[in-house]
Amino acid sequence: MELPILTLVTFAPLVGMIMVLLLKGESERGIKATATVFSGISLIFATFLLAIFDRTIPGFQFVERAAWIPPINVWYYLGVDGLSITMVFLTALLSFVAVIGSYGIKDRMKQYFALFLLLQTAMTGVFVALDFFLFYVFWEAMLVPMYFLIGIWGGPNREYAAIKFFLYTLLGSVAMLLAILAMYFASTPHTFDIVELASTHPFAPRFQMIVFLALFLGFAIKVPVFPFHTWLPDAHVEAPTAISVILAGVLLKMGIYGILRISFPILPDAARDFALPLAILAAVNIIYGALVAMAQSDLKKLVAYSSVSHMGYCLLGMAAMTTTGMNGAVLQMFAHGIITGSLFLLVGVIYDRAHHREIDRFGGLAVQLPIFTGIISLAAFASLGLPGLAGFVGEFMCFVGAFAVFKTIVIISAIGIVITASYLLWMLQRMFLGKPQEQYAGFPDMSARELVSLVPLQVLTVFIGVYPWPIIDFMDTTMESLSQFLRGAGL
Amino acid sequence: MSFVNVDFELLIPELVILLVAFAVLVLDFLISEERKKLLWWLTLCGTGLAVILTIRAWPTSATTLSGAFVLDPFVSAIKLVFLLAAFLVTLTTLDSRLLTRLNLGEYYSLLLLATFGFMVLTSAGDLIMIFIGLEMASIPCYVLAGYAYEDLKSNEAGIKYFLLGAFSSAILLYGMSFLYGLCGSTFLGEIGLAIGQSSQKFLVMGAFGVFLAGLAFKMTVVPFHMWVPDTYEGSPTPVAAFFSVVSKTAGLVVLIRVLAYFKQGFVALDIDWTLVLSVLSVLTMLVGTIVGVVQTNVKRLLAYSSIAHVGYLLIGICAGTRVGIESIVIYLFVYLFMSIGAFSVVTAVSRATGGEELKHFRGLNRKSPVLAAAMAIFLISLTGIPPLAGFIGKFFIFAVAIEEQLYTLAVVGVLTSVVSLFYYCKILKAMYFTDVEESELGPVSTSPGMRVGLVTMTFFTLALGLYPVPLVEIARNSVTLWLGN
Repeated sequence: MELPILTLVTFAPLVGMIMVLLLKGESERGIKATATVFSGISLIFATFLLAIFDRTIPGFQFVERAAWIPPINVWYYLGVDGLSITMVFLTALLSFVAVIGSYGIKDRMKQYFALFLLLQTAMTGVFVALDFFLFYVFWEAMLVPMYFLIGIWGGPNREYAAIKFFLYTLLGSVAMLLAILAMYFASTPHTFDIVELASTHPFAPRFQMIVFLALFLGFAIKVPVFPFHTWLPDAHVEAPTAISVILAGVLLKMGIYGILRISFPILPDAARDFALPLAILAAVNIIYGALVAMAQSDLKKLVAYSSVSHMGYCLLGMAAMTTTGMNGAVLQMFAHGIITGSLFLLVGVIYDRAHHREIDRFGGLAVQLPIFTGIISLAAFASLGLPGLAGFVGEFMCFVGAFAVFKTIVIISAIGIVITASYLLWMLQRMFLGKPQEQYAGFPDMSARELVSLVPLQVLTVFIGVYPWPIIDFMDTTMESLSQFLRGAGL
Repeated sequence: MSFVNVDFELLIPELVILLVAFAVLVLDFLISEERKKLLWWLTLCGTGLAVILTIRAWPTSATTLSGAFVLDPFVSAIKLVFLLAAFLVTLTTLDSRLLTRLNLGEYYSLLLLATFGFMVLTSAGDLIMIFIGLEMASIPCYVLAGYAYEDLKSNEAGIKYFLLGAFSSAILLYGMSFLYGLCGSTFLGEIGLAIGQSSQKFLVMGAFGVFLAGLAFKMTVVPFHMWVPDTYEGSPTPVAAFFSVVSKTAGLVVLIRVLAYFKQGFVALDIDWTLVLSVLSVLTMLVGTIVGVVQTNVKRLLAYSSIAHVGYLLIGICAGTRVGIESIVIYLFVYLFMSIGAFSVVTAVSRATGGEELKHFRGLNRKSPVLAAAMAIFLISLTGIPPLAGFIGKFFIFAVAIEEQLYTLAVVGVLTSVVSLFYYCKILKAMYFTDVEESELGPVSTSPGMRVGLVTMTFFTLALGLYPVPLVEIARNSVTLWLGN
């Protein structure tokens, strides 16, 4: 029998959760070790998955299928293609990094790590599920641990942020649930099978429009697309550091992933009709997110709004429906995951020392914290799209891919790059240059644990920036077939 | 009609419950104070035995008492809900704050008599039987609501429930008398036929409308829900848990059965109740959730939540299909575990902290993480978030709504689910997010019965969510009476 590798990647953290809960007492080392090991197992299998993935096949690989609820034709159905494999790896990587980044948690750490591992299982599940019912279960199951993680271990305004996140995303999810049910009853025979619906796409154009909009509400809140973004700054800012990493690094990707996996292949006619509105929203996201980020005085808020802006690039590349654009969107998702993940970790590092995040109250930190300054500069440059670093490649491909289709919108969106550069450089200037301040003189530079969680992400950032092909190679075949399908079916 | 023909075999579960009820009542006088726990065991064993007998009788489809008593798999499924509710409520009774110092002999007896009444009601095949069953169930319920006679609120709850309950029974009876007058029979089947041939369309509508209003009281459908929050708040918590499941279910079952028998007749007269039921469903969902948002007493909050859940259940009836009734059966089973579960945690917490306000739940996670986790699971399940059982219930209900193109109901249903999350989160917030002083951290002790009950209910809330196939099969196989499709 073949190794059920996707089940292992997905459920290893869940086993870890049970182990953590079964541990006697509150032994700190035991809990940390268990969480690290099981998150690590997931990462090891995800890496193994990358190694044995066949990049020349556009369809699904490592498929696992078993009947779950036969009376309504629901299957336990897992599989990965070029789109999801990068996301699975990103999830495993960032979760592992976040587990290490969570070692500083003192209060109720048993519950913390149990919830975190549950969250990891749910997130991974979203990216590997190929049955709508299963997909929805994972999608929703994610909300509960996230609510508690923000609400218990978050910042001063955590209760508000947690409930806002929960309500907002649940609202999107239930719209999605209705859409899923509508598709189920509109298909003959009734099915929740994403692959089958994508290959037969049996729906009438009008029906597609309605379902597309309902699904879009669910996905747009997750992305988040303007004007559904207001939960994001609250949640990202109030969440504890490691959870901000996960929110920005993994959760935001689910919106784009959902559109690429579900809306585009299953509802191609509606997708084409909505391409232009999507592109316009993308431009709004890019510019608006960047402008609001510029106005922030809180470092974490700045990074949070920069996410709104950066997800706009993904939307733009995707809306173009060209191979390059969609490759760019997925690559940008991956790059944003590691770059913004590191930025949130870095915000956590400085917050642990200074206990505030006000940009203007810092100054001249480059003298006191040289290593920290080096790493945050690298991450900020990557975020603003400096060539040679990961952020550039994704953005560039999004723009190139979209230029052929939406010339004006791309030109307008390009202003976003300038604004992004200005707010990040201005932030660096205010925090790290100028006269060193005495109150920060005694701060220790990065500790070994902090470096362990950050350095791999920086190495990846540089690697993808210099030589992005290995990553693009994973998704290229899949994206090309999707792009051909979308563009071909309309003619 | 001759009672010689009574097929007592069909009545075995009812008779067991009745016997145990009387046995408890008699034994209460005979045994000494310190051995009163025996009555608790007897009640548990009696309901447990009845559960087994009901399961054994499952495939049976038969009638007796000339058709006034009906037994079929659907009826058995519903009886199982009642019996499990009585069993679980008994398990958790000993932890009740209001009941601890009272003699509980009559309490168990009343609980069993109420269960007996509801079981008879479920099996009723004619109007008289419906009324007898309903009264046999309701009168013990009024007493149970006011059982904590030293507590003013419990008194208030009992009186309120009694007055409004008696009132609604009268309305129901009024409707029944019209139906009898119009159709000349009390048997549901004959009434159904007579309706079809009747020329008095508006009288039929009026009669059934009045009948429906009486039922709506029992089902706690808005705008007939006013008694619910006060009664639930004042009643001893295990009693409120019992009401939250059983009285609604009983009303729904009568409605389902009556509609099943009358359906052809209504079609012949071109009367459609779907719109009326849909409006009631929407109102019930909206009021149950929106008014629930401002509650600060957890029992009141759960009372409003239970009202909202009736709204969801009504969607299944509005669908008017076999699948709709199946989804109701599924929903009732999952609702049974999560609702009684949530009330049970309230029972345990209120004994330790002395009340049921939100503030009494503050910091529960630190006092008793297991209790808090159980409550969290029940509440999240009530919201309808997978992979818990509540999601399966709502999923099937909404699926039926979409299938039958009841889009308004589906949309209102999902939106109110989102709003309901807000008030469930108030409890979660109090338990998890609020820190309390060290001095306030008293241990929350629970009796073994409570622990067994909570473990069982948590188990089913998780298990039915992860693997609902057995439940779906039960629902599929039990719905045989529905005449449509």
